[in-house]
Amino acid sequence: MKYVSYELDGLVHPAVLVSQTIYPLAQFGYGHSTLEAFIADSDGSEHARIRRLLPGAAGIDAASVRLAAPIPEPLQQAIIMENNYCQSAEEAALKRQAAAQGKLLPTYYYKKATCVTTDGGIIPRYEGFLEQLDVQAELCAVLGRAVTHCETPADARRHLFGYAVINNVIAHDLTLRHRRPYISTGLDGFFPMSPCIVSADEFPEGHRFHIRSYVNGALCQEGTTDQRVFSEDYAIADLSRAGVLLGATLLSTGTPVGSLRDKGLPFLKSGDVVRCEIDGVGSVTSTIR
Amino acid sequence: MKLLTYQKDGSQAVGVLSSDGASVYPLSQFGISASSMQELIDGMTDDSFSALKRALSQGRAEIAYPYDELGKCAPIPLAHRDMICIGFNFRGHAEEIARLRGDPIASANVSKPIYFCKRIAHATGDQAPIPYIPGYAENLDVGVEVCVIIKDDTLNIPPEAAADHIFGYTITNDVCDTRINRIYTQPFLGKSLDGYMPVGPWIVTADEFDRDPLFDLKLTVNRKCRQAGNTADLVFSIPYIVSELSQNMTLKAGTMIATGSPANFDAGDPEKLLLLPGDLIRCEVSGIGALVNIVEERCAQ
Repeated sequence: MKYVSYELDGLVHPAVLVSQTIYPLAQFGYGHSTLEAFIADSDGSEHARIRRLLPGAAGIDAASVRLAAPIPEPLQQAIIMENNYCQSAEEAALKRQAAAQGKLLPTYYYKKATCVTTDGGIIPRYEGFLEQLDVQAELCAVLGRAVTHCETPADARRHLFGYAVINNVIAHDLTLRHRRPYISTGLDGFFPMSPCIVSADEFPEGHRFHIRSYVNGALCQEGTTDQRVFSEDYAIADLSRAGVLLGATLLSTGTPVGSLRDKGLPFLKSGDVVRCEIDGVGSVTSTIR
Repeated sequence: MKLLTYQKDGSQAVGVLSSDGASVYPLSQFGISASSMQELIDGMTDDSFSALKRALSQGRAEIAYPYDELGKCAPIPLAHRDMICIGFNFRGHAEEIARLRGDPIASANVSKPIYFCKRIAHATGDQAPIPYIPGYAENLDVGVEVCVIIKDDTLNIPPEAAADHIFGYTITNDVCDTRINRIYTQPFLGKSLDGYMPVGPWIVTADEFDRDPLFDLKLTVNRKCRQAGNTADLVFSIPYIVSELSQNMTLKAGTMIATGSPANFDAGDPEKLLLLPGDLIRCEVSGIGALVNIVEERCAQ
């Protein structure tokens, strides 16, 4: 099931998107005013229920409305997993062994998410303020109802609502200047997200997602989620030991190697077009300006 | 004005503390419909602010509850905005951390502020317990900080204009589990456990202070002084921080900025810094009040 937020009469409404038709969620008995509120209330049973009710549902031609970011102004910041990808699946497997012995832990930080943009949006270049603007394509897990505690990663999986693609835009020189990635990943316009959140039940457990980013059509990053050291399931269990994860928490699982910095290529400049995509989840394209 | 969130009969509401501190006047009686502090900040205009002050000074409050009988909450219990923190903003504290980590003292020299964000699911307030979790979080560290509350959506302002965008000030205790903080690299998880950022007891509105006020800070553990300082000694001042954070990054109304904690007197002797269940932590800031919390053992979930 693909969940979207569409704009109509100046308001944003939650819906599902099936091929080229939008079905507002309200008709299925979900009175939430935003997609975020719907997700924060979800126990995962809604996907199957909506699928069942679709044949008799009233739809809107998707071409007649504009899609907003699925969660345009999240009520909380996004949790980002840092340095989570290896060069190969074999290297990741070795690191997981180290993690199982307690020698390696995930690294998290908070990315400012007060203003999320979507496909066709602008990433400001902030000329004169920063130099090293880079793309970071990531698989972002979206949690459903609040999670108070999970015993194991397997237990964590049932708290997954779905997945989206994000571009975790970063200015490396600002990370260096301030030592931490708060400003460097948190500037206005640095949170492009794909228009759809795809429900987790569309993917088998342990699905190997294929992630790519492109700059002006040329392949930049390419990776698969088996190159990650830690999965979203692992992180949910790990984070929930420290405290409650509120409904609709965004947990982005890191970026594959191959960014402009990794490749020693020139950083993003005004006019560049950046695209992040994940097979089966979607894509988000932004123009630097 | 001292604005606070309280709990009565199972629900939360926003009120103002009487000048003698004994009573709370619910704001609803002044025609203010905001059901939460965030809504109040979002909807407050200069006119509505003046009208509220006028109503109070004219003694128009008819409904008052004894403060002691109300449930204490963080001023913004469900923090939808950021809690931005600044590391190493008191020189003495920066040197202390460098020594404890075995890093060169020079690492305490910061040319630019180190910003990071704490995760707060449900913010706790005055009198709330600070969890001590055997086998998981047993290495608590605490720090008194002045917390700035942003008044309106703020973008690209110079330091001179920062005061125009500050709604008020409150107190926070930046609790951290030093073990978790160390092993996870980023200052995130070890500082983001539930109950690890008590805030309160109220917001003192900015009109009660100078445009660029200085605050005395003091932290006591079981009445013994552990930290003391004045924000005059901040490496980066409050106006500088607000201005810098607003550059190309919108600070939404209600954003909280914790401005740094002073050095511990007993630094260098980690044994003396250990906190245990039952310890009473009191964070005092001049012109605001005191935030009191007790360390309480909680079973690992």
